[in-house]
Amino acid sequence: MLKKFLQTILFSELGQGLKLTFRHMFMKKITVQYPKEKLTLADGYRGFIAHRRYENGVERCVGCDLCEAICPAKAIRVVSDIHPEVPDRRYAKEYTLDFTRCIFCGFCVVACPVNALSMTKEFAHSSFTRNGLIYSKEQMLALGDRAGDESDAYLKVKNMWDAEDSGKEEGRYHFPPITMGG
Amino acid sequence: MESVEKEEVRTNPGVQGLERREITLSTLRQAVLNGLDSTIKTDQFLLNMGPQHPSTHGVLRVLLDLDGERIKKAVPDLGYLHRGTEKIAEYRTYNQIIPLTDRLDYVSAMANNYAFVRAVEKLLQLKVPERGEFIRTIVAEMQRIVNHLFWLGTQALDIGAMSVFFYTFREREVLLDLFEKICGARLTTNYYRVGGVEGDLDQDVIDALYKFVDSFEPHILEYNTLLEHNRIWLARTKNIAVITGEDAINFGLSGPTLRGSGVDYDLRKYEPYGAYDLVDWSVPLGKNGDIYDRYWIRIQELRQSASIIRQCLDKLPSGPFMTDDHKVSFPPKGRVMHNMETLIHHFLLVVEGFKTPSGDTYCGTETPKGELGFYIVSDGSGKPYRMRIRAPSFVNMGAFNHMARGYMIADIVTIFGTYDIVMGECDR
Ligand code: SF4
Ligand code: SF4
Repeated sequence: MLKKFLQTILFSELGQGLKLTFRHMFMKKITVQYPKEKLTLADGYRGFIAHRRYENGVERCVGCDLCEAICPAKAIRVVSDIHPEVPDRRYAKEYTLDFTRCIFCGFCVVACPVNALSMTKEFAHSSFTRNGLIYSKEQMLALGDRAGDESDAYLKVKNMWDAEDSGKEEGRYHFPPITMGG
Repeated sequence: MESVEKEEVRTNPGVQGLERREITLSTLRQAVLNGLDSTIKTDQFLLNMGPQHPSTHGVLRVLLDLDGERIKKAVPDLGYLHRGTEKIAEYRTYNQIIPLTDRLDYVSAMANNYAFVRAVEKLLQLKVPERGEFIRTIVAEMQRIVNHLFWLGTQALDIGAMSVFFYTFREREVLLDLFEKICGARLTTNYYRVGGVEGDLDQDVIDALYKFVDSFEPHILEYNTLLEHNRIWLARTKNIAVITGEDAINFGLSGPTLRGSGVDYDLRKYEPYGAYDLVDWSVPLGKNGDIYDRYWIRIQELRQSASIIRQCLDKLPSGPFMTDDHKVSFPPKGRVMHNMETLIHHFLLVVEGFKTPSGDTYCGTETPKGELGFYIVSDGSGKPYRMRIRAPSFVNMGAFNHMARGYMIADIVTIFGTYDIVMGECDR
């Protein structure tokens, strides 16, 4: 009873709380000062989506529309056409990915049958205009070039690398050999 | 439950007919206020709480009918965050709906994923490999910890205790980093799949999880030091928003809001799924049905979840984490790229989704907020004919008037908090 009374008038429980918060002032800081320091993102991080190329520099996308079909946010638009130089091959004549709509679910990468897409660790989604976030195929290819090994690492983490055959084009469905481009 | 009794008691010789009875601080206050009400005449006063109030945890508007500072009636006005998830789902294949469920209760996306894939699996009568079930259980419990930490931090912040918020978010951060490793995103996880999960738990994730659960108990004690006996916390939570067990059942409450009133109902225990029946854990129950009891329960659930995670990690079997029934799951990329039949199948799976047998099913899952149920009517195609979401936040909101009536206007903030309400789920 007396103990209770003393505890009440001495504010002992508040004192204990204050002791705890005071102690924390001398502990290691865990805050990351963001623009100066950056966290390392996991390999499976789902950031901006990039287009990938074969080792010889030819873009992979065959314009099959699967990414458009699976996209839950309807962010992708593909207009496919016959390749102007290789007549029995198709490609995406127009390809736009609207990052204002994209919910970064990663399904388009799963759907793509030729591993033409991959997600990168680029995460700073900002632009002064709305159009600045609607990416064309060229911009996404540039993203892929910039990401480099990151895009491979993403596919490896997500168990989609087993078909890669070291990124060579042969071993697929024997598309006619492509000599144009790089 | 001993901590509940520890509130300071005073003997009071007689306030408003309460003769020589041990009364708590809050009942004393209540008695004084009751006395005031009869002497001061006030006009009816309508007050809009929200929709843009920091304590409403989203966009919730409550119309308060006040008598002085007393709440005579509280009418919640829902729907500000309505995004038509149920309708959108009718135009999406089952796989495409999984990322939509992330956005229901955006504080615990994994739990929503789990609830949805479980409903579809029930429709398909699909069996998930054992390792898949264990991983799902582990991740669901991680999500429960994340959710309760978030709740504790914001509830304390609403009442004015700032430090708790920082400390809970520190631990939450550890788990969110693990989510990022597991699935690539921190909040919009999209990790569960019909028939298993998207990726395996790596050894470094398992090690980090062991480390987390081993060091978690001191952190819980830390939060309790700040709150458990704090007189401000007690005065703001004890005997506020009381609901009896019977009323709670009648209003259809679920989750900690129901268990705070002492009703022993937890789907993980009574319709075991995942690996919950293979590990040893208990359902914490409250007694008084007030805000303090619901706080106490969530703290105990943190401990239980940590214990479930540890046991599941100990028992984690090896094997596949995803069903090999490729009628449902995507075939491996290697086969897609080299095998024409697989490629065609992959195309159909992407474009049309997998077919479910026609019929309907309801499947409830115990998410951190309560029973999240999905009712799916299927017409045999790859998309649901109708999908109905039983959102615990929405159903719990039904008891709002009952629980808020008679309390002070300042209590409304704590009452919002005690539901652990997330408007994304409530308005769907
Ligand atoms: S990540 Fe998801 S939402 Fe974004 S483009 Fe790909 S499929 Fe569409
Ligand atoms: S990115 Fe892949 S899925 Fe999309 S159109 Fe190109 S090849 Fe098809």
